[in-house]
Amino acid sequence: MTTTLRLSGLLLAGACLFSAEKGTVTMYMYSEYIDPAIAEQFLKDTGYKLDVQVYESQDEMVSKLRAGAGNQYDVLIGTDVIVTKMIKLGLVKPLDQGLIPKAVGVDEKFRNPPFDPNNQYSWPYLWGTIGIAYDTTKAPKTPATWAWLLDEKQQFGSFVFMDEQRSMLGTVLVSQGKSINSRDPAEIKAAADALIAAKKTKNCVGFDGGVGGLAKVSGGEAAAAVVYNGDAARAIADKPTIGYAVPKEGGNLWVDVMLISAQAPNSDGAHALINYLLDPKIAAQNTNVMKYANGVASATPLVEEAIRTNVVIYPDAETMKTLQVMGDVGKENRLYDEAWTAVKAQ
Amino acid sequence: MRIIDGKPTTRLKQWITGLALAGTGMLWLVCFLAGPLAAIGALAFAQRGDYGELIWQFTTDNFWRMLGYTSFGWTPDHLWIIARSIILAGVTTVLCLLLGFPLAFWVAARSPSWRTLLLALVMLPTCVNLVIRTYAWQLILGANAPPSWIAAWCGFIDPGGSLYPSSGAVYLGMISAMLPFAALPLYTSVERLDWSLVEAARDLYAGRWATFRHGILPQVMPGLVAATILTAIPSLGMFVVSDLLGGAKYMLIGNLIQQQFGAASDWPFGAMLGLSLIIATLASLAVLIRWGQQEGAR
Repeated sequence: MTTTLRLSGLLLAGACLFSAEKGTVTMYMYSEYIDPAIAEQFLKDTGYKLDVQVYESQDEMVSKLRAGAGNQYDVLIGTDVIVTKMIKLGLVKPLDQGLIPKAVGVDEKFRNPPFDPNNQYSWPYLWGTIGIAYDTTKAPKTPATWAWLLDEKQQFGSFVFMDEQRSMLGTVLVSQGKSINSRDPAEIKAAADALIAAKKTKNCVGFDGGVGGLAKVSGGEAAAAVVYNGDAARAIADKPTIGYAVPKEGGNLWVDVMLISAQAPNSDGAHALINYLLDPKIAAQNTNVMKYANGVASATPLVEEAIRTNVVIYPDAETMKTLQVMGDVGKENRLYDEAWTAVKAQ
Repeated sequence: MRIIDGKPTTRLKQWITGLALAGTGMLWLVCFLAGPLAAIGALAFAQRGDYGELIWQFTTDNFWRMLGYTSFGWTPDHLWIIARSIILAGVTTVLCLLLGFPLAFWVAARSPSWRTLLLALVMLPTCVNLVIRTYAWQLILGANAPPSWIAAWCGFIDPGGSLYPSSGAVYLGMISAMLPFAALPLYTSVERLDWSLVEAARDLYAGRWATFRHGILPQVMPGLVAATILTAIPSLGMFVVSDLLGGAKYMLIGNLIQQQFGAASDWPFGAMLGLSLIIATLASLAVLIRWGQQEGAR
């Protein structure tokens, strides 16, 4: 008995030594945004220990990195719109593609994105859409439309907007047939005016983050909310009377990508982690748990059928055509900020 | 050579003793107050690059932008935001003082052992994080809880509706957050009240109001000023409560500043807003303290 104990102690010490040898890879991302089982598999398969650090918002991540915390993180998860900024500010470094052979599996749709030409800095992690979550007992049976929120006559109950300036103004721009990345002051102002008008109707109960808006729909405080699709998919599993749709005018396709910090302490480990997460089997496993689609084409057949065929998570080809990807607008960022301030002030 | 406490000393020795005693405190103030303030002051007149980087080129643009001169022409948006923040802080402070006064008198009138317990109860909620307490209000005021059912039954809200988000919910949250900070300073003043002055006023046929005005108010003035400061200043910058209980429909100065350091990544404009808030707060603080001293001395 004692011998067994001693032996296992030795083994444990050996295991610790072994993992310490290859080091730790620190990933900085949203909370609960990776299947927790992956950390153990990653250690077993590659010898690197995975340490997940979480941020509340990507703005918080950028602020921290700009303040000099870049040497605390290896892999960073960032959404399309913030990636250009991270590249321009020198917060991330170009990838050594030789260390990421699994990138061959990445879907054609997500290659060479506008925010990172030739995938010099990033590969896709998970992606999804922004649309409307609604109470199916109150909503009309017709296809979802942004007018459900923006047009007082078509509102069917109280609703919540998403408390994100670019996403919310961007989706309204799409609903008006404009580009989600418009740099035209008149167009941006028109989008803000539409939001202000809708906000002043008695049905608007305010602005909230995607998860918060969804909680209000599940809790009965709102009949509709602008949310992220994966959060909606999880809520629908708990409460089937909730529906989710990308309105017929279109919406936003967002892509969260994996980047490597410019001062990553463990650059080799960071490349190994990106390569590992692009493995079709691992990507499919992550999608099964997170209920968000991944960017690896060869992973799709490995995803559970119920998820693969769920249009909330994998939108149909028709919807995909109406979706727009957000990019950085540089100097015109200020227009969005001032328009948003107007929305929140009036 | 001078003589202090019966010991001969020189000016140099005095300086050394003084520095040894106050040096660490001063170093702290320089590093963590004066330094950051100077940085904010400098940043407020800098510019934002296209991707949020800082450009150290002098501009007064941020100041004019704060006054409403935006890319879309002049708008009163920023002034609305500032006015709304001041109104929220002002109403919260007045309500907290109105509730805090009776509470302070009531607690001060209990026996000593009761007083300790009651004061502990007043302070107890501050042991729980403000955000968690505010989320608790969301649950209490939500559609699936008795307060909303009762309000709906009385016809105040639609059946199946909820009491939040609403301005009533915001004030409820603000008062529950700030009341301890108003009640405690008021209590320390009320507890030391010299009741013989009140009796003297009564003997001189002062009415209820005159007794309060001349017998009590000057005595509790230090507590009143402290309570006002401790309630008004944090309320001015607070936006968690209005976001969570008011539905984030209207922006406050705190939101606007946070937005500049977050989503907008316009640190210079955020610094200008922060600097102006600090200056305005200090100015009103000076006025309030001076007024309190005059009133207390009367």
